[in-house]
Amino acid sequence: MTFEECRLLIPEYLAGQLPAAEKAAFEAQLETNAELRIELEELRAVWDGLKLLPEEEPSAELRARFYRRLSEVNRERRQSFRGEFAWWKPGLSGLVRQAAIAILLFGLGIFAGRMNWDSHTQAQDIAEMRTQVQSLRSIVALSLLDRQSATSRLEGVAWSSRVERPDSQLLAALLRALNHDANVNVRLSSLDALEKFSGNPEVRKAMVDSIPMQESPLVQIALIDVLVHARDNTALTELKKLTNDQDLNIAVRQRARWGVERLSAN
Amino acid sequence: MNSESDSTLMQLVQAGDTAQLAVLFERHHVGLFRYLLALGRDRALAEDLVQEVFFRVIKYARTYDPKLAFPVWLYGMARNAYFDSHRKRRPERFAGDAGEIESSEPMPEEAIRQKQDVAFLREALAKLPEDKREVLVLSRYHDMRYEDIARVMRCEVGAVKVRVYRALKELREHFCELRGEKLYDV
Repeated sequence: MTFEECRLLIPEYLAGQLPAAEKAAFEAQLETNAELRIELEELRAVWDGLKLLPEEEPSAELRARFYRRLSEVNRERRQSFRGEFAWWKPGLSGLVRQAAIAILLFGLGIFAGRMNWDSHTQAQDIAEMRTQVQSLRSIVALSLLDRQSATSRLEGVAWSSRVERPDSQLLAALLRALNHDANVNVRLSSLDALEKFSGNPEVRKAMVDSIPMQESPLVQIALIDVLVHARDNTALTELKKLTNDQDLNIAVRQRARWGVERLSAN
Repeated sequence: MNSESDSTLMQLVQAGDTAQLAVLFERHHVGLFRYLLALGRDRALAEDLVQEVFFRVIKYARTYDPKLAFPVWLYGMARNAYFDSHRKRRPERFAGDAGEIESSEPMPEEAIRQKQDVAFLREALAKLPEDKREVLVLSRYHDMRYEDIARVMRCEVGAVKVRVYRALKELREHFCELRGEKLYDV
């Protein structure tokens, strides 16, 4: 391998992408060639420096714009598909023409029938669109809840609140955030989002199970409030444990006592 | 989190399930934005193009070959979209460009020097010709292998190798120039 050939390998070497054989040959050259060593170190400085440049983030508006347009595209595609299907179906064109003539001949009656069909189709459209929007929101929420940045995860919780009927995957992600997220604000927001579904016995059970996992007094008090508000008597045992735990924050113990009183009175 | 591979999702998009584009968008839009920003140095243009490129994905879904890594196909399309449109607009400068020291609080000498170096490096990168900046960004920030960069840029792997090396050399020259250092070329 010539010196010139070796120089061209420097960036790949720095990126750790050189195949084993070439890497070995390059390192053998490094041992004997001082010029190559100097050049490698000079270029390494700028190569490493590039990773120090702050990374730019797109604005939140980009995501909003994208989802607006995606909804439009989905709606247009559905409509055009329906149109194509009705008129193109082989063998039916004669019937369609006859139907059109019939519409003209029978006037109001057929028109009324057509109106019913239109409203039925519209209702179907709206229902489909709603399902699709819900599904998109769910996808965005799940994706954001998985991010490293706490701000993104908070955004994910906010998106999840816009899903009317979250599926088990989204509920599991919210419960995971409630129990394990490193950021207390994310845990609290997840609880807020889950409160809407406290009518679901599985969600309530998961909230009760969450009490002993929590370390933050803020989250513990919020959980007690949600469970008392949901009148969930199965939480009594956990709450009683809290009232007797002397290591616990005094405000949490007091709130647990209040919770026990309220639930026992039910 | 949806764990389907990019390729599987693209096959669903090809079959008409355009909702899957949302997952691909969530996975790739930030990286794509940074690539387009590095190319054109214009935030508004980069955001417009990210949106444009994802809708080209639907339009050209049939041309996607599952054997090709999705990012390679996506970045190739982004590159075309950029060259289609970027000349119509004026580039804007990044906020905090060119050695600005914004804080009024006194900083330790080392911290000032480091901040200045970052600013110089950023300016040096901006001074590179577009093709060199692009190849360096793909290699350094997107961890693309030369074979994939060659597919995105539609050139030979050998050309990528030479271009990355020259880009890095030129970057160092600009950087040293900005720092007021003399270069002793080897």
